Amino acid sequence: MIDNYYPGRHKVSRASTNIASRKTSGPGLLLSFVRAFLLGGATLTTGLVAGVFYAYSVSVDPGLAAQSDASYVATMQEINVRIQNPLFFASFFGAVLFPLAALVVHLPALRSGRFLLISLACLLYIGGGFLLTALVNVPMNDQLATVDPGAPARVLSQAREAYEGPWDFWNGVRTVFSTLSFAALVGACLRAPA
Amino acid sequence: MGGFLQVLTFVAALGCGVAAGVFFAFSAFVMRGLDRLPAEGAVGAMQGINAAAPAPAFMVVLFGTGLACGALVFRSFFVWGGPSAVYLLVGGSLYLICAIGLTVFYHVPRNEALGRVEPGGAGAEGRWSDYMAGWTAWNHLRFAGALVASASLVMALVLSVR
Repeated sequence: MIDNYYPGRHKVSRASTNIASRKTSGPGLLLSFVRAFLLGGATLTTGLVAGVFYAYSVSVDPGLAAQSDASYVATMQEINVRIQNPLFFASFFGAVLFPLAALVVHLPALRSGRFLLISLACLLYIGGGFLLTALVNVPMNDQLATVDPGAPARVLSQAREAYEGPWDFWNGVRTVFSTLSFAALVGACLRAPA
Repeated sequence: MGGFLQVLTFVAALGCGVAAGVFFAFSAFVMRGLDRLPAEGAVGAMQGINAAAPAPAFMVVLFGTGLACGALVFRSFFVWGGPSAVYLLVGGSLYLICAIGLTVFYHVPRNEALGRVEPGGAGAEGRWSDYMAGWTAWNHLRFAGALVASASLVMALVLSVR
């Protein structure tokens, strides 16, 4: 792509300039590796969580809308149990820890565009993805878990009424915030490290 | 054109990442959750989910990203020798093969077959366990392909601005 901007520049000469400009001492090399690793991890975990929330928004939530109350309650209960596994937690908590760690290793570049974008991503995901989930969706899941799927129709209908609409709405909100956080992190990857 | 290609790569990288997360949700917990239901509930819920998937909100991301990836693969040959070309080719092709190819040629036909199963009927249980096993195994590949595609396109962007 860069070739389009510098059409006259010779490939080999550019490669050698790059190597020269990137030649750094041992600790400097380690720092740039750690920065790239943490920012890469932050970007991928945040993208995955954004996609998980998006999957509910466009697939699971509308897909279960036509189910009977008993079936809806039983299905959401099982999904809410099964989501608590190491793979999902690695991405859900990774999307908090990786960006925060990436922020720390970029502290020396406090005024860089990259630092600014990582900070923005942390705010967006920790507030609009992580805390929203912990404070709104999870308590609703816990409440739903107390309902017996074999309970009388009126009880199931009330339980679903209290859960489905608000849960789907807040899921849409966390989808938007996590996707914006993901976009900010991809943007951060494009900025110079310092 | 350089700027346009970068915007396209940025959008495709986001689309691949979000699609990877969608496949991840099914690989990591949705299918396992459905599998714990009685076959009637599992088949009914999956039929509902499959009926909802073709809505524009999901199709735009899944196939819009596919279109962008096709353009990036095509374009990679015009910037061949440049730092980003290999990453554009690998990222774009992986998404097209794993996400689009598997969806169209593996998952959609099986979803259609499941749609003809009577949830409460005889044999629903056997049909569900066959469907669930193959569908989930190939979904792992959709997930992995889309995730690596996203990483590869981000790498293409990083190298293009360095």
